[in-house]
Amino acid sequence: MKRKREKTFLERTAEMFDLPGEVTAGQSFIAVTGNGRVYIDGHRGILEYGEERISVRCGKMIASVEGLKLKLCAMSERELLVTGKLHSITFRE
Amino acid sequence: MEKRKRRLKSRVRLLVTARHPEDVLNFCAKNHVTFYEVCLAREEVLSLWVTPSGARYLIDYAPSWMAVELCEEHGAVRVKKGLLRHKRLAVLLAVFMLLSWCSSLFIWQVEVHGNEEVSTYRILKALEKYGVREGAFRLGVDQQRVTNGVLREVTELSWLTVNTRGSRLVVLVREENPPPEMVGDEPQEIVAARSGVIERVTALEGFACVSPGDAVEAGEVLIASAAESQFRGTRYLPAMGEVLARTEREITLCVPMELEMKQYTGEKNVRYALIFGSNRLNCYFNSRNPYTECDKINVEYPLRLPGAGLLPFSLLQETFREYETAVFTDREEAEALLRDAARRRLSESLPRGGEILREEYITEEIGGALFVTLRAECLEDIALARTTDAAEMIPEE
Repeated sequence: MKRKREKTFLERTAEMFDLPGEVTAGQSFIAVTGNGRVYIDGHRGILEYGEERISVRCGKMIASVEGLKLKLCAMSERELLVTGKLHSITFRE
Repeated sequence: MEKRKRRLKSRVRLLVTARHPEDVLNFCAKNHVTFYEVCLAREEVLSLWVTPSGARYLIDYAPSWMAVELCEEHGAVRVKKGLLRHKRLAVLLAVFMLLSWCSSLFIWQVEVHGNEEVSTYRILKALEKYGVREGAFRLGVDQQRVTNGVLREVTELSWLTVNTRGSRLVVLVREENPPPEMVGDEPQEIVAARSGVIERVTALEGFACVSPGDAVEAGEVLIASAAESQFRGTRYLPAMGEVLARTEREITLCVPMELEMKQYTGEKNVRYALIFGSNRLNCYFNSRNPYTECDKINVEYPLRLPGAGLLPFSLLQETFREYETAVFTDREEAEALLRDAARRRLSESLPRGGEILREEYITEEIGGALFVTLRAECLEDIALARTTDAAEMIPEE
């Protein structure tokens, strides 16, 4: 059985004081606009790139954006923007 | 403008071959190489647009696991390469840019705004005295000196400012407002400016001598200046007021029955000339008038570069339109023309607030000319101020 990942001290502190995780605990900020745009702030790199799936490392988890005609519109060291017809976003640890 | 800027912006398309294309993206992001429009060209081949500096970085510092191939270039980087290949063109462009920069140091157009009574010519002549003319060195114009000098020259101006916008010199002026007419203490009476039937009398100062329904002749006193006072006897005041009356007006206009009018044949000749300051360079050989009877229409187009201001050249377009003189004997048209003109003249001659109550037109043809008489009944203010003579003021014993 897979062991559940324990929350870090910073994550727990952020939760306790109701602070935004992307500021205190170094988590990624993900914003989805309709089903056409995903903006990720604080990524750690792309793991998989294709027209149907783009997987991005976001801190200690991996966010997989699935859809059709997915395109990486812009990318910098911290941020990236994916456009296309989105079907789902799944998170893996 | 944005679109043009984007088109001019340098960009390079690269084809990057790597076993894991996502590693290429991570590499670019990590090394601050801006990229956009990413797509998989083939398997393991990624197509992406980058800036020229980004392309240079990727080509120079590409790790062993990726192969970078330059595919195409767009925008200024392409123009730059083209210019490097065609050196003469580059020199020509540089000379042109230098000339346009030099030309921006001079004034090539002087505009005057805000004048109504004082003619633009007079202001321009005064400006010329202080060195402001077409072709003058822009940086040599002392705005304060020009302003003070021109205000001294043209006394009708109360304010003036000189602004330079590129090669254009804009002069804004304000004219002096004449002082309002002072109502003096001199006694005056209101008399009828025209004959008519009184409709309403509003006497603000003085005594009304007429009442609604009275018929008055021109020159008749309507509001008297004399005011009876219980303690001081008769006093003479400057009478003021409004007297509305129904008046009869008649206007007669005539026009010859046979009118000579221009009729364009449809033939035209267009010529161009280049104007440089006060010099002119014709772009044609035969300067003779092409037609015996024609209208000449001149349109001047000042040449300007986007962003570089006005150029010292302007293009003059001369259009000659041939016409024939035709004799018209259209009675109806002539009558309509005269009716319109008569009505317009009547409206213009009425004082402010006056209106036409009834109008009647009489048309006659006498000796080859058409006469149209407009008889109208109008409602207008017939009050006219007249200074009272001292002799008139002395009451008869």
